[in-house]
This record gives sequence, structure tokens and C-alpha cells, in this order.
Amino acid sequence: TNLIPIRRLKLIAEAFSIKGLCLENSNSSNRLSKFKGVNNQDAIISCFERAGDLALLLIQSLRNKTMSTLSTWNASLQPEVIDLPGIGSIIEKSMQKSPLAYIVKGDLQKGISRSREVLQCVETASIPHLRQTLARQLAELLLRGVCESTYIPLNKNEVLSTHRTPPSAPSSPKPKKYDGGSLYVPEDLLSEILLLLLIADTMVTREALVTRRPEFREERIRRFENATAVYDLITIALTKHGQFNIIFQTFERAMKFAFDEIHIWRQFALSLYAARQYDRSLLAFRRCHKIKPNDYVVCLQAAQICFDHVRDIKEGIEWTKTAIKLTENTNKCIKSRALLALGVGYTLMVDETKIHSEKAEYRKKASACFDKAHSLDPENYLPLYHIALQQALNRSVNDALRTITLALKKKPDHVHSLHLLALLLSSQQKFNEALNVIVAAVVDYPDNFSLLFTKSRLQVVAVGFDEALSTCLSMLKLWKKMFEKGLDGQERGTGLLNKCTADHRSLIHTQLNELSDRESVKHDLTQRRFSDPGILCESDTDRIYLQVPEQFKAGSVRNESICASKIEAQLSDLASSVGSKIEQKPGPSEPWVIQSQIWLHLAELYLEEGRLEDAERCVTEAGVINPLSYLVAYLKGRLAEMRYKFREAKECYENALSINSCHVKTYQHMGIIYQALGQLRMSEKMLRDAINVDPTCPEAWSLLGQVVHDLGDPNDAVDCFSTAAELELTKPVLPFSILPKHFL
Amino acid sequence: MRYRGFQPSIISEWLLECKQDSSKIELGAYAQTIRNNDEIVNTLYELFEKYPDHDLISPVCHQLFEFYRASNDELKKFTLELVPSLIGAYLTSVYNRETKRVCSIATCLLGIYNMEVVEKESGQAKVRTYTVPTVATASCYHEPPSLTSLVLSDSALMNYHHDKNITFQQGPFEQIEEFSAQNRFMILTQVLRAYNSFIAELSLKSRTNLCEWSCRLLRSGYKGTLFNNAEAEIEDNSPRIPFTSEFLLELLDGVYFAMFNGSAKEGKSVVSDVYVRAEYELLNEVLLVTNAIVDSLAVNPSGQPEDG
Repeated sequence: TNLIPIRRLKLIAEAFSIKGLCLENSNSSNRLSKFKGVNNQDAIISCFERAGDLALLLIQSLRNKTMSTLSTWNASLQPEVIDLPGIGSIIEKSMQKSPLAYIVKGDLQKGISRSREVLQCVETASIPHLRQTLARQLAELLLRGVCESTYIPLNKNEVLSTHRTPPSAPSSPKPKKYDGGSLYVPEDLLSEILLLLLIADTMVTREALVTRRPEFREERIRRFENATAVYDLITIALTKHGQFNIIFQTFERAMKFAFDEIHIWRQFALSLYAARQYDRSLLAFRRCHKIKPNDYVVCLQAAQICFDHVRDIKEGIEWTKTAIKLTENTNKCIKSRALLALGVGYTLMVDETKIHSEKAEYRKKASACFDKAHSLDPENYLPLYHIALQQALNRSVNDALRTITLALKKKPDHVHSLHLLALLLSSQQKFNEALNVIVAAVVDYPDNFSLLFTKSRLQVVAVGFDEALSTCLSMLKLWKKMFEKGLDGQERGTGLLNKCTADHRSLIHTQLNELSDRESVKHDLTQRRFSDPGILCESDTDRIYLQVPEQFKAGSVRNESICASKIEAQLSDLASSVGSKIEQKPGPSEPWVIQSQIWLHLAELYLEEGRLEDAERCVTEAGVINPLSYLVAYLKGRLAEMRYKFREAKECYENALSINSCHVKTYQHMGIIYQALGQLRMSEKMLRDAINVDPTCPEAWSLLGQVVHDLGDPNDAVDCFSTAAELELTKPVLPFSILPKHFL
Repeated sequence: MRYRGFQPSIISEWLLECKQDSSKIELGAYAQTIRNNDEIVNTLYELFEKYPDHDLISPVCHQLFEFYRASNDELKKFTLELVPSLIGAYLTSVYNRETKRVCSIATCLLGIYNMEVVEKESGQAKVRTYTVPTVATASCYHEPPSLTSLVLSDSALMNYHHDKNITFQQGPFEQIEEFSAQNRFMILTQVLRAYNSFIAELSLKSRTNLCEWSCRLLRSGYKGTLFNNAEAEIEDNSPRIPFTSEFLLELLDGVYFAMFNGSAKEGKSVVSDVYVRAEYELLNEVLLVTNAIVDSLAVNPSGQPEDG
């Protein structure tokens, strides 16, 4: 190649380019003779190709020449400073057009090969813009014109072999290509698209123009548009595969373009949300709102994060109020949605406050919102579900039943409505009917743990302890089926799960202690330090890849108490963060929370049957898996209480309350302990706290009645007992508050 | 061809032909002929769209599944062409609570799903592995030093942060015997995935059909309320279909392809309908893609869908 002088190379290349462009021009102006057009197209292609090859040669020899004149250290330090003469816009244009010429002819595969060929040629600093365009262009061709069955990957052997025989005649020298054995060669469609886009991404991001001076305006916009085109393609290619981490990192790099650019900010916020970085996502949505204050969608998205993830209910309510203002002129469906969101915000506020009058106020506001939302969009089942849930919480059971039936007419397979229906039936003591509803719902949602918990509870009262236990066993098996593979390498607990599920006997005949020798349990407890989930978060080895069906995201893990403390909120934050295909933060993730909840549920059943040993074994297992759970502390207290170790029990309950200060049952049992210890005033205080948290708890009322009576106030006691008796009549097997409150 | 109204006889004759010939004739050649037989194909489209409770649905679904598993790509493609119709008719019937008529369509879709999630040869559950390449190591298209400037900037560092290719998996999916509310859209997503992986080889008519069905399903139950038509405020008592994000993303994948391959107008209207639904239901993953598509059409430096 050294034989041809550089100047002549350039001239010939330019000549071919101009000829190609001219032919193309005449082609488009003269479409009459179709046959001739085809011939012309071939001529155009060959002109462009030869121009391109020559241009690449030209660039490479220019580079060699410049490099050899510079000293090595200088070149390696600042290769970009070398100012190579460009190849000129005419040649660049013809190079960019040569793959497209094939497409015009209808030969996609040839167009792709030509693009690949040019891109494989050793690049130089002088044509970054062209390369970036070509890379994006090829990615577009692959994304828009090829599917998995028609994709032909690059021939790896051909690419990697160092001695390539040029296919064309030796008279036309071919430019040098990348070669060598260690090169990465994409093997499938997605990875080739991504490789090209990521290359284009690094180039466009690097050439971002930050200056705002007016004379650069056009250039800045041009570069910005080039960059967003690449970001959009990356988003289109990757979203389906759930690789949100890569998407938001791309936008993170794009931030230098982002000054007041709503599109970049919105995509950044959305990708952060999808990657479960809720705090940062909320910040980005706030920014979006500043840039585009009249977009109600942004407000609702921010509200959603506040309610479901960050648990800043007050801010969420502000967002929904703004959204309601902005949706005034939109259609009814959207107005209804915004009102629904506000209503949900108010119901969440009910759990945030401890003052009774405030709670009532929020309830009233919430109901008003739900009613209005329903009247605006009567076909939507969700306002009806929320109305029914409010009615249930107020124990207007008959009204609630009527409303939930309506909701189920609008959407017969809504899992939470079915669940609510079952709980309502159980509160009317129709346990068999309730069980039938739950069984039917489980057929439609076999992987929903929340339904299974309720099923097992109902079985205790409707059919018997044996059946309830067998449901527990099937839950353990289900857990194993759903999560074991996803969590490989990760082990928590003492392996009781495997022993239980491997045993062919039903749980009723098994003594759990038989299944594990105590020594190994103790050993495990001292060996593993699960006491601090923060430590777990930092270890890199604990990465979990999960594959969980979508419907699992919400409502499977139950918070027995809604106004959970910060720690529990964090837990549930992680809990709701399980989705398909997405890399998880390590830590007390949802599967483990679920497993520990199964053990705790089982422990409660055993406790009620008086099988303390088995119950203790379950609590220990749950504690090893999820040590920070207030329910573990609570059940440890229950065990100690059953064994008349009141001091120990009290300590456990105090622990539970320090994690979650809203757990009714713990207050209730604190009351019992103080009563047993003879501290009646303290007992009364605890029971009143319990009632303050949940005024619909009959056990707390009746205990309070006893204590007040012992304190010498028979009139109050009578009131308490009658309230208890009244509430007992409408008591569901599990509190209504386990049902989720979402506005979507 | 002039339109002569719906003629079920065309289909029954075709079914008879399949029964008689399936063993003898050369499958490949036969498959070619029927794929190019507009009369049969159009009548089938019409059958699923307008007469979903016709008696012929059941034998047709049976025959389509027979084609799908005949281990002949051409026959398989014939069935795939009709996948949008199958999914559309299935969803409409399910959400109209017409469980009886949906049976044979569901069986066909389930059959396709169950075949798609296992490896053909080994019968093992299929696991697809994907790679996200890194720009930090050299590839056949670039060498790393020329890309990143030697100035230590955030972005330069970030590029080197991931110096290994990231791989991720999809699957395994388990075999399923029956549709349930929980798995319904998961199954349909996989079936649509099978469609998309052949989409370039399917007919323009089929891709347009995909777009048209999608619009119909997305708007069902929301006409006059969420979608402001000219004939606004009409009562729309058709059922609302609660799509999942995964399904809509797979759908957009196919529609995006269709949009650039002859169905520009139809594809665009699906995108805008998906956009409305995704905004209404705050399907954030879906919004990510619809935003990207809409934006790239607005400021695209290289080509519009109409350009082909």
C-alpha cells in the first residue's frame, strides 16, 4: 500500500465518491426506467465501496506516516493531539451511504456485511464522527431489520485469523482490520447490537458540548440529538431483558447533556425506578417536575415511590394533590386515578398517626376520595376494592361484602379482592365458605403466599389442625421450588426446610426436633453472624439472581402491622423489590423474609396446640434466617410466657416493641405479663396502647376489662367487655389490615 | 382478489386437505403453497377476528398446533403467522368470561408455550444466555484506548469499571398444564417471544394484523374514556384487559420491527396506545421504551419508519 502516493489515493477516493453521489442523484430524479434503476444501484454501490476502501487505506497510511515522525513517548502520551488531516466531507458521506445503498436495493444482508467490514477496519482519530454514525446505523439495521431466526453472526474464525485473504482482486488493496486472537466477537444478535451501541455511546458522550454560548447552539443540539438517538436505542434493546442497571448507568453518563432536558431526566428517573433505586429515582422525578411542571404523570410516579417505597406519606399526598390539579382538564379515567392515589395516601396516613381524632379525619377524607374516584370511573374495580377495604376496617361487614362483590364483577380474578372476600366471610363466621373462596383463589394464584397463610388459618377453624399443618408444609415446598435455584450458593437457616420437605410424613406426625440435632443448631448460630444485615449488604459474594413471576411483586409478604418501624419499612422495601431477571442487592431479601414468616406462622400454630418444643424449633429457625424481625422476638416472648418465665418474656416483648412500636399483639401480651406480675397500672397502660393502635381488637378489650375490674372500676369494665363481645362478632381470622393499599 | 364475504367452506376444505395429505406429501413444498395461499390465510384471519365462536375454531386450532410441532420450519411459520389472531381471540374471550369457546385456542397457545420452553433435542428446560459486552476490552469493532480519552474523567473511569462482559439468563420456565390468572400473561409473553424471533420471516399481513389486534385489545373497555375518540362518551362495556409490563414490552419489540418493515402507520398507533395505557397504569418499564421510541422518531437523525 505504500506504493500509491497518499495524494493520489485521496483524489481517486473523492472521484469515486462524487461519481456515486451523482449516480444516486440522477437515480432518484429519474425513476421511470425501473430496470435501469437496478443497474444504476449496483454502480452506485460499487462506487461507494471503492471510495470507502480507498478512504480507509488513506487514513491508515496517513496515520502511519504521522506516527513514525513522532517520538514514541510523545505519541503514547497524547495521541489525540496529533492533528490528522480529515478525509473530507464528500468521502465521509459516501462511506456512510454505502451500506444504505444495499438497503435501497433491498439486500439487507449485504448492507449489514458492508457496515461490518468498514467498522472492522482499524480506526483512527480522524473519523470518530463517521464511525459513531456507522456504528449506530448498523445497530439500527440489526434492531429494525433482523430477528433471531434471520441473524447471521460474524464468522469468528475469519475475523480472528491473522492471515486473511482478501476476497477481491489483489489490484485493489484492502485496508487493515482489527485482528488477533483475543478480540471479542459478538455471537448473537443482542450482543452485537449492544456492542455497537456501547461503542457509539462512549464516543457521543465524550464529545458532549457543555457550553451554552449561542454560537455553538446548533452544534450543541446536533450532538445532543446524536447522543439521545444512541441512548434511545440502548433503552429499546435492553428494557425487555430487564437490564435496568446498564440503562441507568448510561443515563448517568449522559447527565452532562441533561441540563433542562426533560427527556433525559425522565428516562433517567424511570430507569432508576426500574433498577429499584427508589431514593435516587424520586430525586430525578422531582427534577422532572421542575423542568416540566404541568406533567401529571410525573407527579403520580413520585407519589407512587413515596407511598410504596420511600414511605414518606406526607410528600406523596402533596404529589397527588398537584396531580389532581393538573388532571382537571383530562379525561375521567385519569382524574379517577389521581383521586384514588390521594385516597390511598390518606389511608396510609391513618397508620402513621396515633391520635384517634386524626385517624378518623383521614379515614373520612379517604372514603370521600374513593367514592369520587368510583363515580368518575365506575368500570374500574380498584376504587371499589378500596371502599370495601375501608368498610371492612370499620367493621361494616355487610356493606363491605356488597361492595367487594361489585368489585369482583368488574375484575373477577383480582387477587386482593378475593382475599378480602374470604376474610369478610370469615368475620361472619362462615369459615367453610371463606375457605372455598380461598381455595378457588389459590387455584388461580398458586404462588401467592399471602393467600396460603390465610388458607392455613382458616383450616384451623374450619377443618382442623392437621390440614392447616399440611398447608404449611406445602408452603415450605413452594418456597423451595420458587427460590432455591435463584439463591444458589446462598444459605441461611439450619437446613430445617430441607429436612421437613424431604420427610414423607405429614408435619403432624413429625417432631421437628427429631429432624435436627440440637448441637448443629447451636453450632450454626454461633458460626453465622446474621445479626447485622448491614454487613451482608456489603459483601459482594452474596449477589442473588432471582427469577420470580411478576404478580409476586406485590402483596405476598405481609406486614402484620402496617405502621412498621423504620427497620421493618426497610425490610419491606427490599421485599417489594423482587422482580424477574434483575440483579438484587444482597441482604434480607424477600425470599428469606417469606421463609421466616412461614416458620413463624407454623410456630404460632404449634403454640396454640401446646406443642412448645416444635414451636421453639420453628422460632429458632426463623430467628436464624431473619434475626431482626419483631415477630421472632414476639414469639420468643410467647414461648417464655407459656413456660411461666415472665421476666424473660417481658424482655422479649420489649425487644419486639423497640423494633416495631405498633404491634398490637405484643402490647396485649405485655399487658398479660404485667397483670401476672401484679403491676396492674402498667398492664392497663399496655392494653390501652394496644387499643390505640387497633381499636378493633376484641382480645385487648376483654383483657382491659379484666384489668380495669381488678383496679376497681366495674362500670368501665362492663363497657370494655361489651365492646369486646361486639367486636368478637365481626372478627376475621386474620386482620383486614394485611391487605395491601396501592393505587395501581 | 375481490372480497366475497366470509366463506367457512374454504377452511373446511383446507382442513380436509391437511388430514388427507399430511402423511404423503412433501411437507416443505406443501407448507410453501399454503403460506402463499391468500384465500386460506385471509379467511383464517377473518375467522378469528369476527367469528371466535365458530365451530371451525376447534379443528383449526388443532391443525395449527399439529403444524407447529411438525418439525418443519415452513409449517411452523404458518402457525406463527396466526399467533396474533390466536392471542387476540383468546384474550377477548377470556375477559368476556366466555370460558367455553376459549378452550381450544388456549390449548393451542399452551402447546406452543410448552414447546418453546424446552430444548428440542434434549427435552431439557431451555435457558437463554445473553451477553452485554464491555467496551473496556478490545473487540472486532474497536480498540479501547482510542475510545476513552486519557483524561481521568468520571465517564472514563466508569467505562473501565465494568471490564468484564455481563451475562444474564432467561429461563428456565416450567411446563404448564393449565392457564391461571397468575401465569396467563407469562405464557402469552413467551408465545409472543416465539413470534418475534421469527418476525422477519413472517408476512407483512401478519405483522399488520399484530398491530391491529393490539390496538383493539389495548383500547377495549376504555373507549370514550381513556381514549378520546371522535364518538366520545359512548358506553364501552367490553372488558378491560390488564396487561403486564413484560407482555407489553415483548409486544413493543414486535411492533417496533413491524413499524420499520411496512406497517409504519399501524405500528405508530400501537405505540401511542401503549403509551396511553402505560401512563394511566404507571407501567414505568413500558414507559421507558415508549418514551424512547417516540423520542427517536421525533429527532431521529437517520430515517423514519416510512423510509423502509
